[in-house]
Amino acid sequence: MIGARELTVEFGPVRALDGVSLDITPGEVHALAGENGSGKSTLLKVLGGVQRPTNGTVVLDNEAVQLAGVHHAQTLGIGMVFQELSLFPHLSGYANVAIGREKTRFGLLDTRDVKRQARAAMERLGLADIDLAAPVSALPVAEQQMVEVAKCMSRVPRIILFDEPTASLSRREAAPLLALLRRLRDDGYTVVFVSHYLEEVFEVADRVTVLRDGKITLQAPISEVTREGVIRAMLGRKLTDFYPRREGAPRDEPFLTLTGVSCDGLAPVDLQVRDREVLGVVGTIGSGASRLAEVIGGLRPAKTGAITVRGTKVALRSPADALRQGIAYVPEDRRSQALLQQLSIGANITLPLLAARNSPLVRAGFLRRGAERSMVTKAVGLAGVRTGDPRQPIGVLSGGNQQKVVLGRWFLREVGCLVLNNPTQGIDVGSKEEVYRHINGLADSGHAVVFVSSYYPEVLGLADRIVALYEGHVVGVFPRGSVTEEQLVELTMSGRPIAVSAHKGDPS
Amino acid sequence: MTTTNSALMDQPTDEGRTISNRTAAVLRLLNSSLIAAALIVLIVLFSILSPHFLSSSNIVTIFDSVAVIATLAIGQTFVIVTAGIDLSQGSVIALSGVLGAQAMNGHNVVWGTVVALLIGLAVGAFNGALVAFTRIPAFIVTLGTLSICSGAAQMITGGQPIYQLPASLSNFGTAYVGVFPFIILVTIVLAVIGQVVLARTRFGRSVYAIGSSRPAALLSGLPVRRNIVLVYVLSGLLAAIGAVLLTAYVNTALPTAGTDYELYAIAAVVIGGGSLFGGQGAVWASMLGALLLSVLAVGTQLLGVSTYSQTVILGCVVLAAVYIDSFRKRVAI
Repeated sequence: MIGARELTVEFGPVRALDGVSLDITPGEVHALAGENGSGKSTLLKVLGGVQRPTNGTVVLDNEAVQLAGVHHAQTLGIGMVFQELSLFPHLSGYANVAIGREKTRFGLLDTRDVKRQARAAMERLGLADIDLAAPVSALPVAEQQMVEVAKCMSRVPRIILFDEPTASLSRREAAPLLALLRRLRDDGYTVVFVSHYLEEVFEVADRVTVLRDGKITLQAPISEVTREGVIRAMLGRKLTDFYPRREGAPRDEPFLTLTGVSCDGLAPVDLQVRDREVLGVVGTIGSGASRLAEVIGGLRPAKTGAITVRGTKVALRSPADALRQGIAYVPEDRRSQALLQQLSIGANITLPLLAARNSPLVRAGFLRRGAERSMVTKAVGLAGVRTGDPRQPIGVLSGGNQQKVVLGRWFLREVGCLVLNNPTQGIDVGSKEEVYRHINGLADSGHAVVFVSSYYPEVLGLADRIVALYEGHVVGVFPRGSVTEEQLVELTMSGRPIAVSAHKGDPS
Repeated sequence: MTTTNSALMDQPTDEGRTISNRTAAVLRLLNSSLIAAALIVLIVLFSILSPHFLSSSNIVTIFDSVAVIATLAIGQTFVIVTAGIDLSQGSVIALSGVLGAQAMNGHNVVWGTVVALLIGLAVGAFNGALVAFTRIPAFIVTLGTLSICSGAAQMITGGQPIYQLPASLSNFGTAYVGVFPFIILVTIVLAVIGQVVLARTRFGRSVYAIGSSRPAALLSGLPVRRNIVLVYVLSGLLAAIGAVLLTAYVNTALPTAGTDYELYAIAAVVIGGGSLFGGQGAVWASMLGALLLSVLAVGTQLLGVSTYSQTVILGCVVLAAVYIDSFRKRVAI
């Protein structure tokens, strides 16, 4: 039996877990649900020995244990399957499954034993048909996931923790994995899994624990809860409270017009983005939602079609091209693609002004340091970044404040259109709300905002129109209020058109 | 360090803010003076152990030995801040040195200097273009040009040194302004310019941005490739200036001149806190690093330590510097 007593985990000022206690019954499938940033992944990581708690203990068979690390957890029979695959991409499936447990013969690697171990683990999972000889990077993601599970199983755990195992899989690909979770339970294993998808929770879990803001808000056998009950426990407040209302409305004239624009993985798209409009873009991984954003941001040149900005035909071959047309792209991967980790908060905020023409930051090639200080103060204030001293390295800020720095950049440099790719990923609830206000504020001040998100409620709450993509095709465009979350989930996960007032193609 | 750090973040109050300001100021002071402190300790140590160490002739020896390495380290700092590396600097000294010397003997000193600088510029542009526009790592690119340039220098000269250079060159190489050799003044001027460019200009800030996160720099519209090319051009040019200084000083152009100099320049940058992962480093700190290397070399020599042992000591110092650096809290740009 595994459980926790009064677990608290703090990351600087952010409290990811706040006094969480739970017991997981042996031999059950236990789902951990919650919004992004609710603490569900952190809880799982503590149970798996990846994250040490600030306070509280993990309990194993009624005894408090201090997990020293993943390896220690493994020796106690706790195995973890990671969300970001922890495989070695260049090595074969065999080598990956057996890694760290290889036997040697005369000092040399016993490759026969490695293969035997790996095959045994795969057979235990009923997955004999995966090609284990190939480098795992050559396998489809779903199969890589299975290799990851096999790697975990080869350590013979009794408790298996899955961190969002289906996050990067399509519904079809996820089915065998979900079946596997059930089979593991039937074989007597205890399974704990984190999930973003309610359907999965109801499909395979015996019990569910819902977290919100680091606290448990619901814990019950799955037979005793409803979908609505779980959602209520996840959100805690009504959607309308959470998403601030807009002041203004979109203008009629388009800022950006795409006509038959396509690229690899994206079929020709006709689309307009208007001034003062928040255009939501939704779709699962591989749907083309991110690609569409990248084409608009100049990261991925269009193969066909025409793009016009305020009626003038333009070519967007690079982010610099896009910026010259007034289009700025805010990437999904804040840490490595948006932030300058070695530089100060201030230098991070003024970054876009470095390249601007007639930049107020630069005179005759030299930085105007006094002007920079006052610009930093202004942007920090506008964006609501909570920092003592903007000369500190950016790394001292929480994820939410870092994201506000990334958005705050564009309060300093004049652009017409902002492309935001999952701007609220991995930030705390309070910061999210502030990011939402900034998105509204940017639209109200005249910007066209393209808002890509994998979290549909926020798109439904903020976007004036929503574009849904499935396998590279636009499968629906919906004005605000004309579609529900369930319908969007259904549409983006199956591609099936739905029976609402769906405007195929571009309605404007 | 980590505990101070988290303590700072846990105090969003006004009190916390003043603490963070004060701590940051102290850290900044400590940070900037660490290499300087090590330098002073070494100088005091050597002057106690050898009364000759602080004599004016020995100080001149230190300056003379540091001039070329320091000049290389200026360019190397720019390259390393972009997360690159330039291994070709030493062989650029050899190639531009011999070609410049040939031109000096055939025509005059000015023409020879121009030829040397053009060679440095060309090799730098070649390095920069390959690093910026292909996926070949800077290490490999410059390892290639290292080999090409040193081979070319040998081919051109048949392996023979070039003597009998114009007298005006050696006059320049051994001239003094007060107690300062002229060539160290050239280096100091270049270092000041380099420091100002890296710390105070749009280009300099872009160099930090590119080294810190290339995607972020691209998304902000910075001309990333152009700046990368410029950084290697700068490094090549400074290596060529180093070649002219060296040729003037020794009054001979050797096809083997400058061998391993790039390694000393890299060591100087790293001792000064530059990070090979990019985004960190400063020209003035690299200059202190170069000076430290030079003081160490001259001082140990004075104490009768063999050249071989000196090399061992130098290696230990580089490792110690980087190890200590990993505990320091960095000050952001």
